[in-house]
Amino acid sequence: MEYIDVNTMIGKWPFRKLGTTGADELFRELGRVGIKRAIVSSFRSQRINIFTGNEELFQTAEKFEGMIPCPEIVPLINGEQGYANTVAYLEYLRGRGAGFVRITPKYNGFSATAKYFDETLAYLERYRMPLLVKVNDLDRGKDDVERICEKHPDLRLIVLNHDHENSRGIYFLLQNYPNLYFETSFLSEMDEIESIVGAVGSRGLLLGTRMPFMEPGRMVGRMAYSPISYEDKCAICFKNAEKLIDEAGKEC
Amino acid sequence: MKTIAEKVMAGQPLDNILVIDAHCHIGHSSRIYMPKMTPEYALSYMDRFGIDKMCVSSIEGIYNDCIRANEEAATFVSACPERLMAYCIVNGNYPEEGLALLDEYLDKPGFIGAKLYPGEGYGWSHHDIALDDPRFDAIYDKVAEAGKCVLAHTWECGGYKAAPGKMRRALERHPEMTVIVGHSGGTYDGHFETMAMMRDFPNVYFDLTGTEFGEIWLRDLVEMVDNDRILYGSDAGFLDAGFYIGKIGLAEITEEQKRKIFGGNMQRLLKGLNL
Repeated sequence: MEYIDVNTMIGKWPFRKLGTTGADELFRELGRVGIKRAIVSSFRSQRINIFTGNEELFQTAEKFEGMIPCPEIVPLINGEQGYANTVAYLEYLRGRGAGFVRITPKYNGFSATAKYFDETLAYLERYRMPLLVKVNDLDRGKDDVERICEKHPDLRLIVLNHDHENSRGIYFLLQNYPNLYFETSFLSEMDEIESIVGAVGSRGLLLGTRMPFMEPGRMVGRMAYSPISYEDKCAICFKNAEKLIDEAGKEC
Repeated sequence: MKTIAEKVMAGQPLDNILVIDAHCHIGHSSRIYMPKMTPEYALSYMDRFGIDKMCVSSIEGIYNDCIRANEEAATFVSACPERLMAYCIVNGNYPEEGLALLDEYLDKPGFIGAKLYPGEGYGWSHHDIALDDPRFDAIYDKVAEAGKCVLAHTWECGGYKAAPGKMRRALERHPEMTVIVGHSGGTYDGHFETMAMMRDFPNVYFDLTGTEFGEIWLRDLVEMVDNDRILYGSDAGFLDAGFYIGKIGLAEITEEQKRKIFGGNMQRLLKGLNL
């Protein structure tokens, strides 16, 4: 089975030394369990400085064939760092080869559903650039997922770190928003993946490990034993992500 | 012969090693989707992974219908006593009821000990009581005197009601009591508090159930604690066993360490109980 991991980070986590730090360690651990490609974000970008962090991310990605850089963005103000606005920065990122972007709104002090962010979301929608965000980083969690999908139906929205013990809302969302995705690292309820696939299909699920917080073997084992069809397994493990990668950056 | 890792990567049941899941649940929840854990479904689920035995408690006890919870668990294990075992849930806020339930169930076939649900506030998964609340004293005494074990839900450390260290007082009275620290304190700091308990008391065990938030990889954990006292548990019923089969099976540890964690340690624990 092939795997593409949509939820990984590199860099120094300030609060403790995690399982891996740099891309070399990340890909060694992923490779050990058969994962050869990953969408990778940066703690430095997320927590301190998106400009230097994103540049480092791109430079690192040049050294690792399976690494798909996922830069972090925030709403820019007053021509910050020389960019007229966030869209201008996205133009640069897209030109740099970025297909995916990530936001951490609660931590970085903004709201993904505010009017000031609409233009950014519209740009991502137009260029099919998937947006990654942790569900608990949205002001109103899954409610905001629905708001974003309603307003930007062509935005490829990838929801990360969806809690366990909280799955009842997922089914409706996946059924009604064809460009919404949930990564699987913590869809941890018993038979949850099988239940979702049975109810609404595998289209909206993407394999994610939440490296380096969690060991990648967790997710590989989870999928290996799943009794869903081989086609559904392939969809979740890599085909859904591959489709997003192939179309990312191309204008609608 | 395939290694454990090779079997896990291929999704093949671990039928050449002993696997005992020390921490599982039965019942239904309004809060989370739980597949109907009939004994038949549980056994077929176990066969998917090669889990030989499973130790359950009923979530009716989390709600506080401990009477119904233990009736349900007794019915469940009676369907296949060779493979299904149970903990008797008690609520420390109702100590007389708890003691009566322990009298009724601890000597029933299939029951291996008591399940406790400490925690803060009016949360979903606990009884808002501290593990060192005096109302638990007689409960610990009864379990220890019966030669059974305690599985306590734990989370966080220090002054938190569900901190593993809160069992220190009970263990000082019964230093040989077998205690499975459910979730091993859950968090990074909670794990370290569990490790301290393991150093001080010989029959305290590190439960891997729900340890995702602890951020300590298994390859590092085995360097930090007695490998003979790490237990595989999955919260199956709530959570999916596949995650933990993968976490242990694909960890960068030895085959021997995997065998111990998957079942060898729990088997030895069970042999040490008065069953």
